[in-house]
Amino acid sequence: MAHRREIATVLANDADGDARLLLLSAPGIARAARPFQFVLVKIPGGDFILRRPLSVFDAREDEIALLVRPVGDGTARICCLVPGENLDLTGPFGRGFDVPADALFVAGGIGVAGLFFALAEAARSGRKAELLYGAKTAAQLNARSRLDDLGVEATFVTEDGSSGSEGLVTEYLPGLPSAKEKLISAALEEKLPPYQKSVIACGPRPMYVVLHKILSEDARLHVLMEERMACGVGACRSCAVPAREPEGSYIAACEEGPLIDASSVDWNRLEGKV
Amino acid sequence: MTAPTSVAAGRLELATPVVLASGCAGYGDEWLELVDLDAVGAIVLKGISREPWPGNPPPRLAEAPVGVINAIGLENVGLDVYVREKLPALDELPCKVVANVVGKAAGEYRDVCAALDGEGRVDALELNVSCPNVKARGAAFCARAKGLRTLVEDCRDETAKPLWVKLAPMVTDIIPIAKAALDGGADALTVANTVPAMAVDAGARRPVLGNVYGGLSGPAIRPINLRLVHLVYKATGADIIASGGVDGWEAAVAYILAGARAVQVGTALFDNPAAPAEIVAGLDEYIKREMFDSLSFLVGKLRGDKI
Repeated sequence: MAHRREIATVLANDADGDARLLLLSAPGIARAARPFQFVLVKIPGGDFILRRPLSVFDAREDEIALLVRPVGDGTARICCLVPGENLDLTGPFGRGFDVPADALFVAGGIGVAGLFFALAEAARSGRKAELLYGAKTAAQLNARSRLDDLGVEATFVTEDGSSGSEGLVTEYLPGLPSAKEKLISAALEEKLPPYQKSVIACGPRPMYVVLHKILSEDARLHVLMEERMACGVGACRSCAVPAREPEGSYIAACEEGPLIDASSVDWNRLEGKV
Repeated sequence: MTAPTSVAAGRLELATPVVLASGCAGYGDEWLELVDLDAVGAIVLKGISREPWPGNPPPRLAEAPVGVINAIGLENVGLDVYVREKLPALDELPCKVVANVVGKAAGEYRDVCAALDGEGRVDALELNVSCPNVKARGAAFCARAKGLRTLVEDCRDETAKPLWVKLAPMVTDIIPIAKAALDGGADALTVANTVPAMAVDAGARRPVLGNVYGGLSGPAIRPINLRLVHLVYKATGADIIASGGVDGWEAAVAYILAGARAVQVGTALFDNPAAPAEIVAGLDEYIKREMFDSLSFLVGKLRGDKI
């Protein structure tokens, strides 16, 4: 833990598809941040009490980057910042995670913001980084040129087919058993071998539900949980994710996540809210 | 010489009048890196029940105009883990520690009070008889004077430690409720808890909160709770710890002039973790500028407030 509050200075604010990529000078947070961690951003202008949780998109030396899509009044204000203006940050919050060598990253829409840092770290240290990335349209496939620059092995999918393959990411997981293989194994009463890859996903809830259903129970699936948050430090217990054990309990996404092992989630209760 | 901003409230000497509110302050050690606890007189820990409570289904949070609605549902680890793991972690805290006690029946409150009476790190107890997020909504205790008096008497029997009672803001008349708590043996009153509230998602045509109803906190409720502090102080002269939307020194001064001896800070931490230190610095400057010897002198010193 090394939480701090830092007044960051905006260095750049560039369009990135339908989102904005903000580059900020924030040496304390930048040097402490690890992939999958997030910051809480105070909305400029003073009308909002709750800070907004945003994934650390990338961090290098004294700078961090945030990928922000203007979905409401708060995020719209963050997107309007110009170089030289300040942004009040707290963080970095949440746990990092050691990415297994065989990991497949699966991003849905703006969820790429939660995975980019890990992909970048892998690419910079010469490790393989494989990404399956889906969005509604080509405009919502963010950070494409940056992924290309890093040399990430990426497969793109759009719902309208405007870029890459047409459909949903969950239809393009490499190495999944086909329907025929499933029928044969069922007929022979054989268990299919576990999914070979470790999957790390960030995107909308329905994507997680489908991933959890199609990957076998013993697949190693981790999902990045985005919840309404207030404190970031595990004090307020606002960001509750239904936990499998003990029954009826909750995981605080800010403290124990935000990347959470799918096997520790109570999917029945979670799906009730999707 | 005591610092001009030190106060006494409910048999507790506080180095500053800023008290971190139950719920927002967690189990006391979560905020250590972000909040300067040297500026804090006491920290009120998360409500603790005899057995662990899981809390409410999410979403547990909704934003409101100048406020926040929460429906955490008093998720807590239960008395055993609290005593075994949480309290021992607080040895180094520079401030007083107040345990907030919750329960679904009088016996549960009593058992928790009795257990905490022997805990050296606990400097005082605050009875939460008013959380809007538990199923019975604490209604039996917080809304009826007679039941509250009996509950406080029961808890009083179990502990010699200072006993605070946190009242609900939305009752027909808070004065008989406040008097009942004092008659039962309360040393101080926390006025008041969050205001029952709800939020609706128009697009989804659903309530925002998993629990449907929650409690509104933040500056939105400050004028409401300020009046309650004033009413209770005028009627009882009790030691009052004000709670509701304190986010700066002006709000603290308003509550103190209305009759509070200390103020709780909760929701403001989310927006500005430096709020406690800023409030204490602001109060210090205020009493110097206005040339008062101490903050305590200002308690209830509102002018032109005949009611």
